[in-house]
Amino acid sequence: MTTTTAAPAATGRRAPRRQTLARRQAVWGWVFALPATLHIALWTGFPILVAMLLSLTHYDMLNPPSWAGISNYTAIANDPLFWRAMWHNLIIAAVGIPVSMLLALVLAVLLNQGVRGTGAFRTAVFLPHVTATVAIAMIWLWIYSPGQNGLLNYVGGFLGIPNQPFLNSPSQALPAVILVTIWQGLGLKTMIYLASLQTIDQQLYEAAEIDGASAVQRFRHITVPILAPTTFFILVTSIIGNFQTFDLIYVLTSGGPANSTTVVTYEIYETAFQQFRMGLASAQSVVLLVVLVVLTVLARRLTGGRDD
Amino acid sequence: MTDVLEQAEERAAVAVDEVARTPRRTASQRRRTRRLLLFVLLTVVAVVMAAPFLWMLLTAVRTPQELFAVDMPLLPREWHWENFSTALATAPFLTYARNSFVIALTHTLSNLVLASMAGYALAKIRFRGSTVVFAFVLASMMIPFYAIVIPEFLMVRHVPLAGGNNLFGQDGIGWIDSWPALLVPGLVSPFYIFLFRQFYLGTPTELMEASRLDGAGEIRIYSRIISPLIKPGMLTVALLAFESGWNNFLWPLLVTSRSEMRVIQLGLSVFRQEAGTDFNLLMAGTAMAAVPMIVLFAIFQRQFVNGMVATGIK
Amino acid sequence: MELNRRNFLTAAGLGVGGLLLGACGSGGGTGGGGGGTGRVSILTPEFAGTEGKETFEGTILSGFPDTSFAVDYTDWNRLNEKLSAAVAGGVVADLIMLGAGWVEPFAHKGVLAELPDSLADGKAINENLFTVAGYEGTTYAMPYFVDGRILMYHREMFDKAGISEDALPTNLEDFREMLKEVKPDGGVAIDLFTQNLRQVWAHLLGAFGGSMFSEDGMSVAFTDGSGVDALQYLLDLVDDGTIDFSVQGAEGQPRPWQQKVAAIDLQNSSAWPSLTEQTPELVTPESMGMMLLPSADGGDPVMFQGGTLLAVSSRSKDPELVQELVSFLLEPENMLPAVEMVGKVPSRDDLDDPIVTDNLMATYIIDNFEYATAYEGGSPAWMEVRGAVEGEIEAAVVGQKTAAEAIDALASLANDALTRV
Repeated sequence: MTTTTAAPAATGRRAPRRQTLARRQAVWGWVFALPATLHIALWTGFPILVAMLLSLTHYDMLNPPSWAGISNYTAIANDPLFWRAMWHNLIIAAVGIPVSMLLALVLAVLLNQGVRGTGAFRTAVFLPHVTATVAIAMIWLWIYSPGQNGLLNYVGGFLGIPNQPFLNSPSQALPAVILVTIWQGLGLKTMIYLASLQTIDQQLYEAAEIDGASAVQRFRHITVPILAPTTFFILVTSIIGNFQTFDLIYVLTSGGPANSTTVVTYEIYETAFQQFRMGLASAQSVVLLVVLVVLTVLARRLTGGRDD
Repeated sequence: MTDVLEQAEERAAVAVDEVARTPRRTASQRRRTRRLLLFVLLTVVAVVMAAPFLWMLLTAVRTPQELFAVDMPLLPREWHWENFSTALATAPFLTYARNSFVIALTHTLSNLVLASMAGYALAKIRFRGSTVVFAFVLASMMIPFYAIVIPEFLMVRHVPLAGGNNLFGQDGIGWIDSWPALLVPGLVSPFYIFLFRQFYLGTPTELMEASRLDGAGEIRIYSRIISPLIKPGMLTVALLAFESGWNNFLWPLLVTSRSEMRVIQLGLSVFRQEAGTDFNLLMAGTAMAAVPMIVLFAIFQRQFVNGMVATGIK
Repeated sequence: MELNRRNFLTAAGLGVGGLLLGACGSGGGTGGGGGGTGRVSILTPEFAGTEGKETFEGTILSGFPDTSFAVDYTDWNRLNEKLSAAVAGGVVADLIMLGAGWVEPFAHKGVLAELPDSLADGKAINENLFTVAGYEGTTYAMPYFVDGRILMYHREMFDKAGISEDALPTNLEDFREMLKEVKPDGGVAIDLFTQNLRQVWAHLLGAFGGSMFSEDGMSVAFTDGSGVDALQYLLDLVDDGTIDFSVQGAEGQPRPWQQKVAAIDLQNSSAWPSLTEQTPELVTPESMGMMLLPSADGGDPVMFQGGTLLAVSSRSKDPELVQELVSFLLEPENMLPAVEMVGKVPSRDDLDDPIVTDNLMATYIIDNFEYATAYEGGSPAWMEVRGAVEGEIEAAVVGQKTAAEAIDALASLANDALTRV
C-alpha cells in the first residue's frame, strides 16, 4: 500500500549493526502503533467483522439473526435503487471533489499571504465546517426555496429569471446538492492545506527565487510536490467522506424527488433503521467498503502512485 | 461571532485606509495593488462562505410571525436578542455543553497522543506489518457508521462486569448511560492517524538518524525532536478532534437515556419537533453551539505564520 | 448450505458468538437502568425540553404513587435508531411511546406486550382510534394523542370564488372542479406536497375506498384499482394546474398556504401550536375554514389518522405496574397538562376544557373522530415498504412513471416484503 514503509526485506543487504538497529526500530514501530491499532481493531475492526458476518444473515435487530447465505448480496445485485444511489455518490464525488480540492488549494495559498484581516477570512471559510449540518441544510432549504421567499429565486427575480424549483426538480436537485457539499467541505480542506503550507521550509522558496524561478514555477515545483501527502490525504478522505454523506441529504431532500438525490448511506440507513433489515444493510455496507477500496487504490494511482 | 466580524470590518477599513493613504512609491506600487485585489477577492469568498451563517444570526433574532410572513424583510424589523436566552432556557444546555466539552477534550487529548504515535510509526519507522496496519486504518474509515452502530452498541451493552453485568456481559446494562460509553469508543480515530502520518511524512528522516547517533532515545526523538516540527498538524488535529467531539450526537443518543448525560447537538433537536420547527430558536441555539468552535478556531489560526515567502507569491 | 453454515459458525468464533447471543436480547435486563418493582423506564418522543420534562415528570408522573421513573426523551427523527438499538441490546424501556404504523411490526416481532381491552374502560376513547393500536385482533397499544389530517382553507379565497361553507363538495369529482375555481392567481388551489406524499396518497387511497393491506395484513390490497385511482387523481390535479410539485414548503420555511399561495392546505393537527404562533391572523374562525377530504363516491368523508400511542414492552419485569401507569396517563386530570404541553389532540373526546376547545383543529378533529382511520400500515411488512412509497409516488407526479407503473412497482415491493414476514 505504501512505498516508505514496505521495505523491511531490504535489511538483509545491510551491515549487521544496521540490522540490529533496524530490528530495534521495528520493535519501536509496534510500540508506537500498537495502542491506537488495538483500539481501532476492537472498536471499529471488530464491529466491521460482525457486520460482515451479519451480511450473511437475516437480522431485524428484534429477533436473533438467521442464516441467509449470499441472498443479501444477490438482493443488492438486483436492487436498481442501491446502484442508483451509488451512481449519485460517484457523480457527487467526480464533480465535487476536484472542484473543491482545487478551490481549497488556491484558497489556502491566498490565505497564507498575510493580507490584513487574514484571521477573519480564515474563520469565515471555516465557518460551515463548525456549524451543525442540520442547521446548514435548513439554511440551504431557504436559499433553494422554490417560491419568491427563496434567496436564489428572489435574486433571480431581479435579473428576470423565472422561478426555479431547485430541490423540487429531479434534474436540478442533484447539482444543487453538489453545490452545498462543495461549500460545506471547503473549509476543512482549506485548513488542512493551510496547515501543511506551514510546514514548508521557506528557504526552499528563497533559493528558488535566487535561481530566478517565477511565482508560478515555485508553486508548481515546490508547493505542489511538497503538498503531495496532504493532497493524497484530502483526496482519499474526501472520497470516503463523500460516500458517508447522510445528514445533509436527510434534511435537504430525503433522497428525493423521485429518488434523484438518494445516496448509498441514505439507502443503508433506510434499509437498517426504517425497514429493520440489518443483514441487508450490512451487506450493502460491505459492498460500499469494496467500492471504496477500489476507489482508494485508483486515487493512489491518480496521485502518481505515491502517498508520500 | 459578531465581534470577529466587526473586527474583520474594522481591519478591512484600516486596510483600505492604509492603501489610500500610502504615498506613491513606485517600487511597492504594484505590490500594493495586488494586495488590494487579493483583499477584495478574499472578502468576496469570505462573504459567500459566511453568508449562511450571517443569515442564521439574522433568523435567530426574528419573531416567528416575521419568519413566516409573506414579505419577510432582509433585516429583522425588531431585533429580538432575548431569543438567545429563550433558546438557552428551552433545554438544560449548560449540562449539555459540559458533557460535550468533556467528550471533546478527552478525544482531543487521546488523539493527540495515540493517533500521533501511530501516525509517526507509520510514516517514520520501518517495521513488519506497517503496511497492513496502514491499510487497516484506511479500511476502518470506509464502513458507514450505520452499519457498525448496532455491533458497537452491543459491545458497550455487554461489557463484562460493568453496570451489573456478569463475567459474560449479561444481566446488566454494561456501560449504557455512563461516561465510558461516551468516551471510550472514540478515543482514537483512524482519520487522525492518517492525517498525522501524512504530516510526519514531510519531516526529515536525517534528523532522526542524527539524533540517534547523539544517543537520543526513540521516545525522545518522537516527542521532542520530530513532533515539534509538525506543530501546525498537531493544532489541526486538536481542532478537528475537538470539533467532532463537540458536534457528535447519534452515538451519545443511543448509549444514554438520562438527560444529564446528553450532549449539545441533541439539545438542539428540542427545536425541531413534530409540531413544527422553531426556526428562530433553532438558529439561535445552533449559532451559540458554534461559538466555542469559532473562538477556538480564531485563536488557533493565529498560530499559523503568515508567510508571503512561504508560498512564493508576491 | 449446511456446510456453509458450519463454516460460518466456526469462523464467527467465541467473541462474535457471544455478541450475536447478546443480539438475541436474551439478557433479560429491563430497560434504561430499570428492573424490579417500583421503577419504570419510559421512552418518549414527546415532552422534549425543560418545560416538557417539568410537565411530564414534575406534574404528571409525580402523581403516580410509589414509583420512580427514568425517562428517555428521544425525538421522532431518531426514535427508530434508538428503539432498534435498545431492542437489540435487550434494554428496552418499560413504557414506549410510538407512532401509528409501528404497532403491527413491533407486535409481530414480539417487542410489545398484549394489553387487556379493559384498560380502555371508562376512558372515552373513540373506538375508531384503536385501528392503529392492534395487530391480529389483539390490542398492543393505547391511543394517547391523535393527529388528524384535515383541509384548511382561506375563507376569503372561497368567498371570492363564490363557494359557500354550506355547499362544500362531497365527492372527489366536485372537489376537483371546486379546486379550479378557488385557485389564486400565480398560486395553487391546494398544497398536497408539503405534507408527506406517502401519507397523502394513503389518504386518497382511503377516499377511493381502498386500503394498503388486507384485514389480516398478509396480502396487498391497494392493487384492486384503488391505489392507481388515488394516484391518478393526484396526476389529474397536476394536469389541471390546481396542484404543483414545485409549490411546496420545506422545513423551517413557510408553507405556501401561510403565504397565501395556496387556497387550501392539507394540514396535520399537530401543527396547531406552530400555526397560531407563526401566522395567528390566518387561523382565526373568521379567516379559516376546515373540511375533510371527500370520498370518491360521495359517501363519508375521510380523515387520515396518526398519533402517539402508549405501549408496554414485552420484556418489562412488572407489566401490571406499567399497565396501571398507562391507565393513569389516560385519566382526564393527567391528560390535560400533557395536551396543554404538546398542543396535540387528546385521544379522549370528553375533555371539555379550554386547553382543548381553544384549539380549533382539535375540536374539529374530535368532532370527526368517526371518520378517522389509519390508512397506513396494517401489516408487519409495512416497515419495509413505507420508505419506498414516496419515491414511487414522486416519480409519477414528476412524470417519470405512469400511475399504473408506480403502483405496480410498489405492489411488487410489498409482495416481496410479505414473503419475508
